[in-house]
Amino acid sequence: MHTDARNLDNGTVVTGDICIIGAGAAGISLALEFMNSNYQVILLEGGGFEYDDRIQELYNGKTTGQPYYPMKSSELHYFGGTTAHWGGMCALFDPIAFQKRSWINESGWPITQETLLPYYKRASVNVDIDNNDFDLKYWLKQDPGFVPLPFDEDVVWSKIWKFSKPTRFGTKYRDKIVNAKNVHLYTYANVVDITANESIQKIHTVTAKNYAGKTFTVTASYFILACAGIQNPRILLAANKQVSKGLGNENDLVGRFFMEHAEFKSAELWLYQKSELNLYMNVQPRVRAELAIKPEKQAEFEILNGMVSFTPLDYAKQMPSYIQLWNTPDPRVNEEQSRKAMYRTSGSLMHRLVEKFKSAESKKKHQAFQMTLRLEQSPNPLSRVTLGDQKDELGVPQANLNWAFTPLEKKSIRKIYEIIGQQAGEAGIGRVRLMEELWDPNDETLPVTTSGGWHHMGTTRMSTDPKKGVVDADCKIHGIQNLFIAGSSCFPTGSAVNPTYTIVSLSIRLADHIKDLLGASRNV
Amino acid sequence: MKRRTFIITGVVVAAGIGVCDLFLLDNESKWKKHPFLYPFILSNILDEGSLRIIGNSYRILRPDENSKVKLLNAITNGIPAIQTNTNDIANQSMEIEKKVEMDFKSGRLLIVKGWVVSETEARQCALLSLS
Repeated sequence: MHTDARNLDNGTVVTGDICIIGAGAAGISLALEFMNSNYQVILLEGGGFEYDDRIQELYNGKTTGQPYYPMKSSELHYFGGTTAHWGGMCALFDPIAFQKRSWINESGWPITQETLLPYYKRASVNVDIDNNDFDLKYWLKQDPGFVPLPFDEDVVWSKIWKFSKPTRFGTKYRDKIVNAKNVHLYTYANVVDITANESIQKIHTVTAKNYAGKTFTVTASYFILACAGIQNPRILLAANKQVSKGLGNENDLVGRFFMEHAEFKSAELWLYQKSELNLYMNVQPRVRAELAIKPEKQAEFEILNGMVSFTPLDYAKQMPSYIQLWNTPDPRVNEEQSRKAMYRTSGSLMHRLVEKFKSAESKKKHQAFQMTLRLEQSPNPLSRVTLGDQKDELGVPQANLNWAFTPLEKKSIRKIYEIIGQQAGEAGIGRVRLMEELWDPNDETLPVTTSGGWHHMGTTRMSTDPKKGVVDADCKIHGIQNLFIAGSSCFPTGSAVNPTYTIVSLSIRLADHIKDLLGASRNV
Repeated sequence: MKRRTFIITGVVVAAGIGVCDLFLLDNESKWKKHPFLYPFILSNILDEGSLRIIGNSYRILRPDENSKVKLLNAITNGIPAIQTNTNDIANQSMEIEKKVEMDFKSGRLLIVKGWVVSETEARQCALLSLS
């Protein structure tokens, strides 16, 4: 069922078993899990089915610290959420991502990779990857052209990525959700407040508003906030009429530990003999590998996890960084700028014509490759989302973001390339050159060309200890019986992997947990 | 002759011959044929000018090695004297390459002008920059 909340009577009260706030990858995955069950699901989406600039404006805010994308265009505010410009990259978070690492402040999840593996398998269906085989050996057997770089496997390994089409959740699941009998989608339903009982141990209602001037409330047994890493803490912090610090913020953790993946063109691999590096290019059947440092070596050198991708250098040199391209508040303009830049990168008309007549082999082989690192960010309490002084048009304070790093990021980047450089030298295949921004070992800053992956993580982090995390291992807010968080804001660390696949997996796990809770309460 | 004296004499002779050779270098075709100045893989990637820049940087980084004799001694150190004291360029190249590989294996690396290079090849560049 679907209702455009602009057409509701003012003051309407909607009731269900579960209220899911946000219809992106997490919210839709949750709703799908409850489809055809006996539970009434209320799914609230702030936008409609298409982009609307006035709705997108509700995400505006200010950024400080390391330069970041304009807040308004850093995520999408309509049904399907930011999957509408998702790149489709899927990989597992490595076991080390979940572990407590003594050299990384506040690292460690209360769950392991093993906990998530069955959910990754189920998530494969949602994101349209045909199976969940991420084993390098499997893929090497599939294609003799897949040849890993001849590095010491105890030091550097090739990690497999699989590519979703990518699945646009808004397009793919719209009909399914709208036609579901027990899922009631409300579009143009922006949550502006959450109300708890007197003791702040149980949520009673959420209040939603829209530009049509309609305000309505939802009551439910369980509430799940699924609005991603910036809006989740914003909504909690703004729900401050009963508790001045905001909900779930007793220990001043909501909004802190914002993490992204620091991505920048950081080194070059120059080969003695030209190569295709086929395994590392994005080729059919939509699989590719990236280089990563073995966990034992990460521990030995006390560095963060990072993954290195390859692009032929002559193409990469012409491509500006995303932080340069994605520089306007309008995500549509940014997307167009990125598309045009990619087109320009393929060269002039004459160049493209010449390329057409080159043999397939000579086109593919290159001597030099740009290496781009995607680095996990060390959890840093100063990297955070806070409420700004300005309010949006619906009266909610805007979210401000301070993106901040620690010295560990720069140290890790240098070490990762030193290791890869050593491996390239030892194997006799070529040499590695670090970009100038990495030459000074005493410089702890990251270059202004550092981009993020639009991966907003960590702002309602998971921990069994309420003093260290906002949610527990089941993604329930500490101290509140029926308020849960879905999505990457629960990640205590971000691995070096794009988060969508893990967001979906964790959401399916949360759905199972809520089903257990609902089942138990009905059996009482 | 004692073994130690023999080795020292060998190295000094080798260095002497090497240095004389180096003073006679005057064009690219010659330096490319000289294994002590010829970091094999790097020179397949970079032109002579870039190798010299790496060499200049190395000499600033390690001022104690800023002389042809010291660099040559460091490059040939550990290579059997008989093989440095010969005109068998292929053999010398092979020995130097082995040494470069060992540098990488044992972590004797430097980052010079951004390049992750072995100590030996950085010294080769430095020697080239003095030639």
